[in-house]
Amino acid sequence: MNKYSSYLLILITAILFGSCEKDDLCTPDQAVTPRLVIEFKDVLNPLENKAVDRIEVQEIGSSSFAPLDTNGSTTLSNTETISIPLRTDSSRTSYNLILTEDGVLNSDNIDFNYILEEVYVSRACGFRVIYNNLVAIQTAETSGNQWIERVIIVEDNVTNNTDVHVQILH
Amino acid sequence: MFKYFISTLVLLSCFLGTAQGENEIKKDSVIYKQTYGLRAGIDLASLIRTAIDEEYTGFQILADYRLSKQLYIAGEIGNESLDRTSERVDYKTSGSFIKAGVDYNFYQNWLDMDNMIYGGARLGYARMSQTLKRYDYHTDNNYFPVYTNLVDREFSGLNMIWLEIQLGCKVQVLNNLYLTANLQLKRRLTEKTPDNFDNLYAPGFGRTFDTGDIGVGYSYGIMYRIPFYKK
Repeated sequence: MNKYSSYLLILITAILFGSCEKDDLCTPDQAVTPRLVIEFKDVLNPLENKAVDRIEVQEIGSSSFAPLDTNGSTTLSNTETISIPLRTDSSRTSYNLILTEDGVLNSDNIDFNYILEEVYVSRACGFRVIYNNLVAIQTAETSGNQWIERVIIVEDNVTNNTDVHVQILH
Repeated sequence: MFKYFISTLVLLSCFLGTAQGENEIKKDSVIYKQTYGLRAGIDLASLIRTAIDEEYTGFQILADYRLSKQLYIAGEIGNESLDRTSERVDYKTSGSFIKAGVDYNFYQNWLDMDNMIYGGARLGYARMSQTLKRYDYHTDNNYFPVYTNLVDREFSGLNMIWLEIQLGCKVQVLNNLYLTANLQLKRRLTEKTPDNFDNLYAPGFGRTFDTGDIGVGYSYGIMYRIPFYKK
């Protein structure tokens, strides 16, 4: 019977292998639909970061505010960078960027246009979307003052959350 | 998990049932001739799964042909279809497969018994089509409603080739009638995957894993031997 015990060992290994479900977990690093990463720069010196006092972002037509970081915060104070989601069912996302400075609200509108591309990731993660040929169009305001001076696309293919895609000069 | 448990029990019973023979090796003047022939049967595992798992249909024919005292040419042929609903992706895979190779009998038969505890090697080939039926985009927030894509995207002409090792037994229960059970460990060699999608299942191979080329499986069934000659 001794020589069969080694076969049994192989069998048990095979069974353990078969019931192992660890690969059904989706690790979010590269597998998730990326967000648009925006960095705030000083308009007088575009090489320097310039934090915004207090910012909220709201899609036009929506009643809630967009998450600005991975913790899901919808309001950030004294921040130099935000990352916001883009629509996966439309090639345009229209956002109001609402700056609060010295108690005064100032809302500027930017349309983000892009080409959607779906990418298969894995059995556990399914599919994600990446955004190509990103274009940002700032709506000019006839009255009032705009806090956003310029919008610059740094990386027009939004494929991950580590690149900076857009710079906003203010 | 239970399916593995049950197949292990079946296998264990093979080991237990045959263990008694080992102490009884004795020289005898009577020479017991061994029967050579073609053995064919059906896989009950896929039939039973077809009956109880409504996502699955399958049918498999098993066969072997004895070459020498311990060596057999062996193979399986069949088709399978799996219609699977999962968290991120719903898909359907269907197709057919063929496996060919050898079985080597490790078991020393006593008197005129004709049982096998065997290790087998196979080369497997599956040809299938896969239909993507539903998928969600994976996002890290729910600011926008989750967009569910309902599609009917068929990828045909897919295939997979793999190497397989089997460990199992074939026990003669009546004259020329055998019960068989085995466990299978497989390693994918090559495959043709759909564009921007993956082979999530392959007939004869089973489900695939994100993390590697390994597959597992099992089979149990009933076989009948058509005797050709005795030697």
